Amino acid sequence: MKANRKRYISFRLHQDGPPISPRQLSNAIWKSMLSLFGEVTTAEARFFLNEFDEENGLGYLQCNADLLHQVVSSAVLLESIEKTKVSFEPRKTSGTIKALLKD
Amino acid sequence: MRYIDLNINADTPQAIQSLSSMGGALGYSGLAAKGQSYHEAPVQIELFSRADLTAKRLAGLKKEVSRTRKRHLVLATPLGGVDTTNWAAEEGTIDLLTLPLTGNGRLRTSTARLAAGSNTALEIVIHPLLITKGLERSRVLKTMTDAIKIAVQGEMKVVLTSGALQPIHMRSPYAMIHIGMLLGLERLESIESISQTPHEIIERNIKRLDDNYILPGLEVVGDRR
Repeated sequence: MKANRKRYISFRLHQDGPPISPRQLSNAIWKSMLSLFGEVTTAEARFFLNEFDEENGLGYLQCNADLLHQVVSSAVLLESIEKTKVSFEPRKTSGTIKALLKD
Repeated sequence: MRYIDLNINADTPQAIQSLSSMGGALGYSGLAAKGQSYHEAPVQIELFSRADLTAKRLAGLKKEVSRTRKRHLVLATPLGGVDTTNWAAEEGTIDLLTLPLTGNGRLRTSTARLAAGSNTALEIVIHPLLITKGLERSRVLKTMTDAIKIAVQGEMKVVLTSGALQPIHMRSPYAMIHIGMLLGLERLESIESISQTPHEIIERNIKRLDDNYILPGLEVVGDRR
């Protein structure tokens, strides 16, 4: 069995304010995870923002399968990024990108 | 599965409309709104009327309940003094006991057991988790997780609500499930807290507010002469 299993999560970021860049979103989720769960969990989460469309707010990210809950919780508790109010809506979880992006 | 958010705040028909639009987009089938204007707004999903009772003394609370029960589908009151809270938990007319984050209100084991017998649920409003950070948020988390632990041990139902003032404050059902798990609920309990439990409250009260309803298990089925 693989040592580090990944999970991919597709999401929509609802925004109220100036558009958010992928870097801003990624940094915000990192900081949220750091605040909620600490440095060790954040490091083990292996979070990476694969894709994020600034216009429609759709994207997907990857993380350690064992810490999926921590990553999602950190993201959904984001209230604002810079001056933009946000609501992170997780949509689908999958073990592969192919299955995630199907449909 | 039907997901219902039992606590949104909307003062105007426009606010109701925007909140219900967001709720529909996120996957909710129903919302319970405080405020009088929900009748007037054209909405996309089911809307239910909610009233929050504010009386601090037992006599005042009883008066408020008798005045509002027949007019609102969902009744809630914050956890407060022992007398009022235990009466609210045992009596069964009030649907939700809301966890306050300030003041003296806390959930006692005895209250949880009384509430379990009358199907009164503990309401956890997640909005404070969004607006606090650092030490303040850790205190909020502690208050919520302690209350949920006592509720679960006493077999009292738990309901998670958004307390949304604006559409952007709402969270999708999947997000709420994860927040519930963060607060100490099992996955199934977390799912029930936003689907089955609110649904049971709504269905029970729809029946209760029917003109033919008299008491639990007693209702008029034929012609009234």
